[in-house]
Amino acid sequence: MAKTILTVDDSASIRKMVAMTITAAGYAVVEAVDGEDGLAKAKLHDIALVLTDQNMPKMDGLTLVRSLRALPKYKTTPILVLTTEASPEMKAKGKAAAATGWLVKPFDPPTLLDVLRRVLG
Amino acid sequence: MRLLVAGAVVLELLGLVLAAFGGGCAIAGALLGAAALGTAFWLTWRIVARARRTADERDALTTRVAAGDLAARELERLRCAFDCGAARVSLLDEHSKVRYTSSGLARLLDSGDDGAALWFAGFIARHEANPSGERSEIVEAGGQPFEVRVSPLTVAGAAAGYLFEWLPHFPEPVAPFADEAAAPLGAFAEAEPAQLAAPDLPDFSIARRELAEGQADLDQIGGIVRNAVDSLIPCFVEIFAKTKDQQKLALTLISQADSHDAAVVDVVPPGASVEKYFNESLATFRDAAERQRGTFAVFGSLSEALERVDSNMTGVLHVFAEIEEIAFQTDLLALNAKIEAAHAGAKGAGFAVVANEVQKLAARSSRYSIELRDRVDTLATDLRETRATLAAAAAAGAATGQTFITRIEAMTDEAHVVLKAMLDSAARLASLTDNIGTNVAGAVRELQFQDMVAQLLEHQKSRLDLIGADIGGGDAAILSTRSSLHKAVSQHDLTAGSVDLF
Repeated sequence: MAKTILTVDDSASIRKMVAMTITAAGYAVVEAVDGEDGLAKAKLHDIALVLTDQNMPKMDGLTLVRSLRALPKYKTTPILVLTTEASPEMKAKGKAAAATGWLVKPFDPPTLLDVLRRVLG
Repeated sequence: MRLLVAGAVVLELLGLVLAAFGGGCAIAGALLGAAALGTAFWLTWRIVARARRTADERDALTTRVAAGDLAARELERLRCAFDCGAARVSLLDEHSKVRYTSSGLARLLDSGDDGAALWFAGFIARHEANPSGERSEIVEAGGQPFEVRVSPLTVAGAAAGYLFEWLPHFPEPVAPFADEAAAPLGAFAEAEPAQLAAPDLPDFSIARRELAEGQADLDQIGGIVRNAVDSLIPCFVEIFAKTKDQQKLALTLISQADSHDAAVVDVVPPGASVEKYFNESLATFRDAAERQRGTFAVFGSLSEALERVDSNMTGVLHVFAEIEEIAFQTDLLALNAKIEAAHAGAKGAGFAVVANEVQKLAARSSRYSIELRDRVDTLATDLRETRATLAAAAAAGAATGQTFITRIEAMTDEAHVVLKAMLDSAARLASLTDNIGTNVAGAVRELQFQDMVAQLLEHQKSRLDLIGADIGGGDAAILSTRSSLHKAVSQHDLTAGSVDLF
């Protein structure tokens, strides 16, 4: 059974491009439009990996990471932040929030798939 | 500080009174007087130092104003209002409570934040539009919040302002104070030194209109880009999916030619191979042709055997001819014996009977021999015809088999050429498909410009909102976001971003 990846981004175009990339590699995709939506869908589905944007309405990416880490189900699940934020300070915040990795946009589809394979094992 | 000055004066007077009351108190009075004088000297030194620093600041501002520095001009206007006692500038603590009033203006000037001065220009403009009420607003400069408060001038207020604000400017008190005390707050510009005459402040109506249109333009740009990208993405998704299918088909074709290709083993049935199929089919045809040629070779051998039988048959026919010759000779002998028996008369009668019987046997022998010879001759004729047929069949079969094998060999060569061409095409197709996939992936990366542009447009809209609020009415909620405006996009091109795994 294909592993399910949750992609959280308020940009519909980014969500579509991420979905296109990872479904072509055989993964299943669940989309969410912001952090709150992402948290709700993470509780609803069995997610193998979370790929989230940082700057979103309602709930930002780092808050989502912290909220997911507070759930026993997602203690060790890989969570990658995919964002335009590239400053070392923001990356440090991501690391402190227990994110698995920090990917700066724009993403390169083959590179993204390579990272997903490495993280998912 | 002013209270300390007043205190020092009181102490000095008290010392003088005590000295007048007698020698017993003379020593105490002298000590108190000395203390009062020391305090007064210290305070005077601080006031003069402060006044010199203020004068230096004023000179620096005057120089900047003379150089056409708008921010400096507005700060000078603020100073004029401050000097007239109609403005207060207070440095606030983190809870927005007044912390320093007397030194607020100096600290604001020290902050070197021209943005604060420009904000003050808008602040004054708003007051000039409505000079009757009191107004208090907060501005952040140099990372610190300041409260600027203005109110209409009254004689008491002006006197109090003079009392509290003149001392720090000693020995250069504000010259036009008396006139300013009677002037309305909205006439601040007139209180400025002559060389600082300010032009009429604009009402920013054009700026507001342009800001509104600029924001509409930003919305329009964002909408066009978003619509374009939203339309393009499904196309690329479709191309991407079809490319993957195409690549899978090409790889399947190649893998079926060489089923050992591990990269595509998941899409190839085990053992399936076009080349293997070709080779096995052609080997089967070749084997069939060889077997047919062997069959016709047997026909040739049979024909040769029949030829040998025919040769033996000819020998048999010669034997029959000998037998018939013997029978003929026997018949002649029997005839001669009968003649001799007739010459012998009655004594030869028995011999004549024997000769007669011998003659009959010779006739029968000759008749059977002829009959056998005829049958053998017929059989030999049939054998020759059969042999001829077999020989012809063997020759024709051998020729056909050779033609068949030659054709199969030609077909084998043609099949390999076709197969190779087909595989070359499939390989080129796979390469092209891979190339298309790479380009689609590049396009996906480039299309992410929409996300960055959308974020930058939002940032610019917030900035315009802030500018509009600043010049158009001071929406506190928007102005309070000034220090929190965050630009989330730092990229200047669409090079793929970095990857950090923690």
